[in-house]
Amino acid sequence: MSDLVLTDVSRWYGNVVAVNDVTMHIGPGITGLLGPNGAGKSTLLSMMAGLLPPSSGTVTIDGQPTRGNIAIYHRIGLVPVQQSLYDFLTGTQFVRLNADLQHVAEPRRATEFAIGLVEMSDAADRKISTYSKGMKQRIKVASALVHNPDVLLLDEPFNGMDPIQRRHMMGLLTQFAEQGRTIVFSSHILEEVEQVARQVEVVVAGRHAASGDYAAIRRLMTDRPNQYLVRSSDDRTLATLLLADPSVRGARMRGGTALEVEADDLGAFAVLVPKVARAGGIRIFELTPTDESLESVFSYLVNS
Amino acid sequence: MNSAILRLGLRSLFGRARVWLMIAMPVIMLVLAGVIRATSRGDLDDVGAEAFLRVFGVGIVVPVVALVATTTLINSEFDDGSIIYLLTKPVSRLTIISSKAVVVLGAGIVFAAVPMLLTGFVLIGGTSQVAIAALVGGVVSTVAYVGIFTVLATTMKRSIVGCLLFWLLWESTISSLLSPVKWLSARAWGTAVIQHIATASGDGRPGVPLLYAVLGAIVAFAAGITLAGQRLASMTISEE
Repeated sequence: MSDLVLTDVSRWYGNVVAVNDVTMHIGPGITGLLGPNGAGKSTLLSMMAGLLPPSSGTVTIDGQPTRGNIAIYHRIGLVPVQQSLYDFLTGTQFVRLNADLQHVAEPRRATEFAIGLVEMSDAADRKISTYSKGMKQRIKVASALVHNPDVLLLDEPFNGMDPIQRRHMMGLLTQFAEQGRTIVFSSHILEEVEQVARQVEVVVAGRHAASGDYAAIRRLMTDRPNQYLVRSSDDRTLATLLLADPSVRGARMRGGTALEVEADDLGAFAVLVPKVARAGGIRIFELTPTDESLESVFSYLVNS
Repeated sequence: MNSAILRLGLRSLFGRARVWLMIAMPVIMLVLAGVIRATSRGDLDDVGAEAFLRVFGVGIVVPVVALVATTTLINSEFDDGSIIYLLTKPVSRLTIISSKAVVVLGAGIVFAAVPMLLTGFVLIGGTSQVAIAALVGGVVSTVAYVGIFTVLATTMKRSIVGCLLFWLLWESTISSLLSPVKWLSARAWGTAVIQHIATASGDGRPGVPLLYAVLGAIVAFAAGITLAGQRLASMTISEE
């Protein structure tokens, strides 16, 4: 059982701040690091893996710093996002290399076991250069757990996997979590995090935007006001009619050809618009929700 | 020294197409030597043989073999990021880099220094100790080059270009223009060793004392590896 703790961690490169004052306490189980691309997830994972020192703050595992402390690597398994592997090695040779470097007690057995876990036994004696992207991912995971680490860090681990492989990998991670390991994986895909992480840490633009279990984060996201674009035969009148309803937070004319509306509750709004339009004799040509993207969800979380 | 990394280094070097470039160099040297011997018909003396080994052996074969080996084992792993698998292990950074350097050194000895010995025999047999001198000179300059290329590979951004520039500018061009450069030149040291050991007079005297050349190579190797190890320890990796 290991605790991975980040305390007031920041990381900057000259004027660019990649991670801004992040504090997290990650315990056993699966934690998903969720955020759009460029949010700082990989930077955080690099710091957790001791590959990058924080510019300020501390990153520790059970009190031990992760940077400048090579003994800590006995307890960490990292599945990096980098695509390059030692292509000239076979899968078995690669996992065995990791086992040897980790001073695993019975390297041959551990290697076979790890390869079996990720279901790569059939392809294990082929050179990695012949592997597909999903196979490379799986062999990377095997190499990261051949030494039975307490902490498993995975950077976008489901990249390149088909749905069946993904489900299998998620099952594996769940199994490891049940053994008491601390598992952190990063993703920009909500559904991946939803299916397997108990705890979610949302990172946006280098900041720790939200923390909680998946249900809490989901609620935060659905409670936000929604944006819509409306085109009608009389936008201005429609705007005044909509604003009369308490569920509508704001309405703005856009260039004289459309109306931007911000409303609280999707369901109520969907009922409201036709009712109001009919009462005012207005025809609706277009009604589109404009902020379904994850980015807008994330920015909302950051700004709240 | 870590045996797993040594084995990795051997596989890395010999499991890929570029091993042919390393093999090609000594083969070319031997073939050239054969041609020279055949066309000179007894006019070839030990002075000429020694000059060939200095110019082609120490000047070209040694640095090319060292360069190919270093770029394969060190530069490319840094460039494509696969070094991350070694850095996230409980193995000291010095051990990592010195294990790699030993493989590079081994490649240099097998593909440059020993072929220089054979070339010497092909050219003039065992007379005037030219062949033995070539072997020792080859080893000395290999040791020095490995140290220098290793530290360049770990400290420079465009390290392959850096190593090439070092060889082509410093070693090959500037050192023949400015005499004092010989005190800090792997090629000058290797060349001097050959001139000291071979009893043939060659053109000009050895540039530096024998002891200095040998010690210089050892220091370059040790210092290069140590600096590279320190650089590796402070290296940062981040995707973004």
